[in-house]
Amino acid sequence: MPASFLLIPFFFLLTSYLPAQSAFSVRCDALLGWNGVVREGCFAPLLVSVENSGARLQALVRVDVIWGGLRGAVTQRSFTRQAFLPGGATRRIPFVVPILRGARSLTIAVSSNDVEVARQEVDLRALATSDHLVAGISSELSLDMVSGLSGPDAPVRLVYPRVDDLPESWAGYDSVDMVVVHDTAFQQLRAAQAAALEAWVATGGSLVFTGGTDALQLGGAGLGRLLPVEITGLRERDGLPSLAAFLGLPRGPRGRMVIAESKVTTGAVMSSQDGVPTIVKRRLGRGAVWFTAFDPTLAPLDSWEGSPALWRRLSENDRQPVLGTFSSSAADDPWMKPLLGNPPLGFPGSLAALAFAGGYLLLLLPLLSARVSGRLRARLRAALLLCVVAAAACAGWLLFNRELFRSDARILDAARADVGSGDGVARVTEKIGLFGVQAGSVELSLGTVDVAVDEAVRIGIPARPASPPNPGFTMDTGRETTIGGVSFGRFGSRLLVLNAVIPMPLEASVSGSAASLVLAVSNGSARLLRRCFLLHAGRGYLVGDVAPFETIRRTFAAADGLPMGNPAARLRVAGDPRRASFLDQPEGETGGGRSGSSQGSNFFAGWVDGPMIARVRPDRPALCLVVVEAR
Amino acid sequence: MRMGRNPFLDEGVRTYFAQDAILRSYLVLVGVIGLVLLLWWPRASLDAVARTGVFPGTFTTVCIGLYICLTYLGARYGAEDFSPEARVKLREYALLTQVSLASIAAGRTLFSLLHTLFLLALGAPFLLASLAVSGGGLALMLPALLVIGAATFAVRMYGFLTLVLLERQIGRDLCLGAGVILFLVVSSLVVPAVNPIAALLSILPRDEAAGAPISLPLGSIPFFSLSVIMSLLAGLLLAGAVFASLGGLRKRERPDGGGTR
Repeated sequence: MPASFLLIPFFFLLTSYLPAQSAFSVRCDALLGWNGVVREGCFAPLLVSVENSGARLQALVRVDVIWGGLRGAVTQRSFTRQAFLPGGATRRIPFVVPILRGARSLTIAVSSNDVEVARQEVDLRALATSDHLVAGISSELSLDMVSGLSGPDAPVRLVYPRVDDLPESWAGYDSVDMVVVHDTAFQQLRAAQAAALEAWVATGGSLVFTGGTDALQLGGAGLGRLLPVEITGLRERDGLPSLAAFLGLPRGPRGRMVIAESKVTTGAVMSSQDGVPTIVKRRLGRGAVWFTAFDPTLAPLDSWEGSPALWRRLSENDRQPVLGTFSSSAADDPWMKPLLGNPPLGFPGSLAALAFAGGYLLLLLPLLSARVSGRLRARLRAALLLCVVAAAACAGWLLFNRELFRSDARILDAARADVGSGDGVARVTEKIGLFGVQAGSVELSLGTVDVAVDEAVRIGIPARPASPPNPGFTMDTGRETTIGGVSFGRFGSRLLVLNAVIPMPLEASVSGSAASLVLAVSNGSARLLRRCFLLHAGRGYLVGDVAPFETIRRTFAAADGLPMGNPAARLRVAGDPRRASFLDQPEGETGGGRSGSSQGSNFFAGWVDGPMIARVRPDRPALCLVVVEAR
Repeated sequence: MRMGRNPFLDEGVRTYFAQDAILRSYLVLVGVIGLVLLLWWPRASLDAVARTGVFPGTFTTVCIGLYICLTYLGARYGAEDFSPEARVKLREYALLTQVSLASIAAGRTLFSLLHTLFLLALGAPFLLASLAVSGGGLALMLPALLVIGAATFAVRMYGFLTLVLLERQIGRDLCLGAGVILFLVVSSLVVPAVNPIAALLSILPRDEAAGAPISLPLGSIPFFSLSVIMSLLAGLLLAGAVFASLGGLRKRERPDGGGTR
């Protein structure tokens, strides 16, 4: 055989190798946080740019956030997204990732057909900060006066994100305390970006639109839905004394300035000058949208001594990052406790075990007694004994397995939805307790809702000896979000906290006097509100069910109110001990930050059967309280 | 030799499924394991287990209980302590009959295997019930049964050997007791993986570190499997020793050979 024949295999090897290399010419790059700044203990936006200079391909982009180490175990959370990468094009794929305290690194891997084609690693230790963040959307670096909000213990960092880089998920704003929109340089926000900004405000954020000549851009930038006013024109003024009154200062800004004339659409005028609204506030969910008719970045406002006080007022909010810190076990969570008492989550009683053992012995007794079955032939006795054993084994397995030992996890679901009357959106916090008796894993579908998922606690021992603990869960954030890989060891429990802002057109208003209270409720949502009640001046008024798309009107006499301080009355209002227990949780525990801070308000509340976000089976124990702050 | 016609199988069935004392021993076995199940049945609520991380050890305890009971019974059955006096004992078969030694050893070994399976089956319903409350899957039954079954088989063969070698009951009892205890103590100190109790503890471990796979030059095997392999090997070696001992016994007592080997 000629020696050249030996080269043939090498040729095939070479030809099979070369196209594989040339097919994947992919590079990926990452823009993490706000211009590279990430705040610890918050979700952060991540924009992955994938440049494909080879053939088109279907890729999976996976982001792993790793934290822990030293004393704590190394843990990670993964996020995946499918992406089609045309040849010669660059795709930008947005993610939102949690930056927990102790975060170490972030890895981005792009793979196609299980072959990794690009990888990028980011060291989070160099990027994470504890500073407060203010995002300024402006074509010029002109919002420096906002840095005056810094305190000795709470430094404020101002960042100027590009309009194109703004997050498409509300959780991307989690680390931001205030967003100031000065101008968008005539760029239009994408619908998802505007919706994300709106949802973030509903979670407690402060959004400030500044006026002046640049206010004319705002409507065209796709932010008209958020603006509390409609800009009608511009006007020149020599001073704004009304601003001093608004802030309680002796003097307002003096000098020539241009202010935007406007017509209030959804907000309340906080300050006006000669009939022109100068400061307008719109409450949206737990947050607020402000509009200032003037441009605070220009003279004379930029050098006005009242400027820091103005920004402090505009940035006031009690928003907490949704990425929480939890320490108790899932079983100790106050939302889970009322649901854990459900009998299917208990072990079968000792009496059941006694009955089983006794029954087995009773079946064996005649076969093992020479008196009773002395004449039985040995072979027949052996066969009958084996039959009894087989029957008992099946019964032992099925009897107990039916009650507790199914391989699927117990899923408990408790949620609270807070609605500002007429806002059309609800801020939902939903906790999912997952309890696995046997080692296994579950997958949770969250539908199309934009959800920020946090994991509170996880305990349990791994399924196989010496295998490492499961690194967390994987979120597939495609068109529909799915949480996968939520695995357990034996008797493991995990508690996931889902945060979202969902559409929920609910309106409630209370009028009349203490002697005759009139409640009007309009349920524009598709959910049935059960066992509704009105909380007014420390008393609960039973309303009954409110059907989807139903409007009701009830009139109550003072005697109808049940004192909520009385446990028996509270139980009657709640409906059952489970719901009463949920209602008894401190407002902060049940996500009611807004209601907790508004003691004098009226609240209309009702129960929804079934989960608000997660699509779990309807037979799972679930509890959901919808609270509407009535007008 | 065809096993189906082996008289020792028939005789075994007639003895172990008809004798009153042996039937009572089954009842006691089931009663003891049932009692263990009840005593170790989890009484805490599921959320308490999830909160405290203290998992029910019902399955492991029932497994160990079954192992101890079957070790005791296996040794007694092997030494033919439950056999009626009228029954021909193993030594007498070798000395007084013309039956081939291979037939005796193979028949007794095969019946021992089958009878061990039956004894395992007697405890299986309790194992299954306890497995469930301990958070284990059905797949864990096989390792547990293998560990207990192999260990019972080995000790039964050891009982046969003492029966062949020692004539006096007291000698056999001492040898059986001392041998089993010595094996458990020494193995737990020197090679824990060989110890059946350690193997049973590793099937549903309480912590991650327990029961790590054993690394061998050609790969790793589950922790429990070394105990199974060693017990089976010991059982077969003991069966061989029984065969050899019976041959030596027949040669010594009947120098003419006394039948085929």
